[in-house]
Amino acid sequence: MTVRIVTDSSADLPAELVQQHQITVLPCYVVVDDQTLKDGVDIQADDFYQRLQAGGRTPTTAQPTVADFQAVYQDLVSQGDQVVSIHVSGKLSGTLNSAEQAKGSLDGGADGAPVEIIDSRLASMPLGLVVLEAAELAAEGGGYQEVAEKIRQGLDLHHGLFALDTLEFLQKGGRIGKAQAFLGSVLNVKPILRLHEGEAHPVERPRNRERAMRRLVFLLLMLSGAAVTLLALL
Amino acid sequence: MIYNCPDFDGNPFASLYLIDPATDSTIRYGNGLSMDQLRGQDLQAAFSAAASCLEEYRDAVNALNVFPVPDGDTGTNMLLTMRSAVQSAADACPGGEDHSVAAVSSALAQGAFFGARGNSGVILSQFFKGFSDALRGKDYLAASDLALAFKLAADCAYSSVGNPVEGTMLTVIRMASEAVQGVDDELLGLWRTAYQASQDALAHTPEQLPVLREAGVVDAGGFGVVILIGAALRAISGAEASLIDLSELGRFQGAANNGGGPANPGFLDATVEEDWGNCTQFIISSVDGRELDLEQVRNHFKETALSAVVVGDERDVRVHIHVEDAAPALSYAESLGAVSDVKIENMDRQNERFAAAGHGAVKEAAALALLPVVQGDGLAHLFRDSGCAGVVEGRQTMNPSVQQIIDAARNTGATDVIVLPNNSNVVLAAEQAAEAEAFLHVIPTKSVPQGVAAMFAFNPEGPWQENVAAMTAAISEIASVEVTAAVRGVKIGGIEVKEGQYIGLLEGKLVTAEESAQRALRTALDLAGLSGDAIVTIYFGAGCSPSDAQSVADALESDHPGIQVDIIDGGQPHHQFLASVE
Repeated sequence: MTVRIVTDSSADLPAELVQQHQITVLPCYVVVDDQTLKDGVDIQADDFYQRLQAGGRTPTTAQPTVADFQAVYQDLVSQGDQVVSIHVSGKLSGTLNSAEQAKGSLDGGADGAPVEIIDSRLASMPLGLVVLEAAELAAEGGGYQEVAEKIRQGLDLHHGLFALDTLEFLQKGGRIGKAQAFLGSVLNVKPILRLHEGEAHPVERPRNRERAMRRLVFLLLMLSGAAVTLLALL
Repeated sequence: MIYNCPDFDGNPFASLYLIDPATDSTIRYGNGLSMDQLRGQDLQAAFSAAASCLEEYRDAVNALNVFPVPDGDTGTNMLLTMRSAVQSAADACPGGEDHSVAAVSSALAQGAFFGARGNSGVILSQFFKGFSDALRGKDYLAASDLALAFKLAADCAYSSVGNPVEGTMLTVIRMASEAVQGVDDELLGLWRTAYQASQDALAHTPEQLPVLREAGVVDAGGFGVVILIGAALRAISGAEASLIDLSELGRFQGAANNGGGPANPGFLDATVEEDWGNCTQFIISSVDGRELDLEQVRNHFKETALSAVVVGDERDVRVHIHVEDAAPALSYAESLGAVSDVKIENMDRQNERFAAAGHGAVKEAAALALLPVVQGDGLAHLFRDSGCAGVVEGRQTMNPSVQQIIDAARNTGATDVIVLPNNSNVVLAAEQAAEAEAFLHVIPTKSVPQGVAAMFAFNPEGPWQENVAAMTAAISEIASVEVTAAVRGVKIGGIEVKEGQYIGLLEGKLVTAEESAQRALRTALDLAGLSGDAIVTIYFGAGCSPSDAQSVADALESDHPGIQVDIIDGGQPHHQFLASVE
């Protein structure tokens, strides 16, 4: 009996790591020019950003479906595996809903199936780092509930700090959250935001990309203090 | 007797008459009061007359600016502050009735406090505060009260600025006060002595402040004080007072002959600049009826703190100091009374708090708003667009009053408001507003570019203390440039300026005079130093077009590959260009 880790493509995990830790990544959907593509499968990040900048209709995203989750959970559980399923913040995406519904439909229902679902309250690589941590815990042995409990307890230690070229797409996608305060168009700043309690919060507004990167590193060091830091710069 | 001096037609001082110190003036009022006692209404009439006189000579005072820049006005600021004082007294003490000098002076102080504009207005308002403190509980102002009134007025004025500088209106007030200490004379005689001393002090201001000497002017605020003391003296002297022409004061006119504002930068730099240190604030309240000694507290912190503002009375004393270590300050405060509202700013603790906020451990931040003082539609738009809850627009004069700042801050509806004065001559008024209202906090931004830098370091979710630290740090990371047309010729620091030329100021200091605004901008920016990855922001206004700014930007980018130049339509009325380098 093995504890298997499931996440979604918003974790931005490199393929080698996914393979190495035998993590199951459910692709989110990207809707571009009336085509529905699987993130990381049919379309890669670079391609997506190019289409975003090209103008035209803004691409949108959609969470993995309930059926996607059902298929994955059923497959793993039927092999006798246990599942810890860690996902993008419920305040940023409906992915968790899909996962919860899928779990509820499994044999044994919401209470009986050996599946633990965790709202990471993070996104992107910060989520990815939590997923890797879970994979390591799973490899050390211990049941799915034990792994899930340790991950939940440690979530507060994770900070998602990020700099953006523009707030435009966060706003269009309805994910701007508290970073609303940093909207503005007269000066082209590169806002630094942080993920806190599952949504975007404002931090400060450097004037260009170079300054933003410098400040990002400074703020990360400030946040981490003397603690050992896992730095993921994308 | 009155001398009419036809010779002085065309002289701006020709119609200002003051008292001949040589003339005896023992006066008796019809009601039998000795001239050695002023009633409240006499005091009110005196300062009302002083305000009128200042109105007449506002331009002459305005003209005594050091740099020939067209914005800011010492005369206007002092006048508006006086008007507010006089109006407040008129409201509190209606005409045709008897009033105590305590009531009148307290109303004058109250009005001056909330109407204070510009640094000179703030200092003037503190003069009235001290004057009023000395007359507390008094029905009449007697000769024996005047020394104390002037002394407390001078003390209050000095305590209102972080780092008092001699050769300014502070010196003029102090010399007037010192001249009447321990002198046995009747009231008019004392007042006349004070007036004479104020003139002497004013005449010596250029010896104390090199920047005045270089510009060939006396201190503008000091001149305002001389006019006020003199005009009040004339008013209380009554009908029989002998007057002389003030033409003698024409010598104070110096090199300045027209235009502009005070923006006495040497003075401003020296008075407003403070060592930041660690900001510590608290209130000491008296317990068990033990009265607090404000003076003692103030002296203690003057000696032990990097900077200190201590205000209050025998019941409550508010302390705002910058110290390396807050602990000794607090134990001293606790030895005097009950200590409350303690706020200590400390970088290490802020880091902890920031980390804690990441853990979600601290409570939701209270609503915090940013309130900039701006002039120009483009700049107002920039600040609003970037998330400021409101702006204080300095329309008629660049300098809003303390009351206007407080009102605008209240209008934001926020629990705490951080004010960005964005002008060296608004900083003190903003700080005075913050002293009156605990929900106000000030980042001492002396220019628009500094204000913009501070704004981008602002985090609406952080506690105000943390924001004040981060924003204050941000303003030290940029250099500010201003370009304006000179309103008169002058020579300062070896730079000769001809009227109509464009002058460039870097960090408030005159660095160049050129035939074109663009040339002045470029020279000042070069002097600011452009490192490889510098960001230059140019705000054009005062009749300049986007292409005027663009041509400078193109040249800069071609000479310094790698730098970034942003152009903003500022619409500011007095400056062709404002700019920053960061």
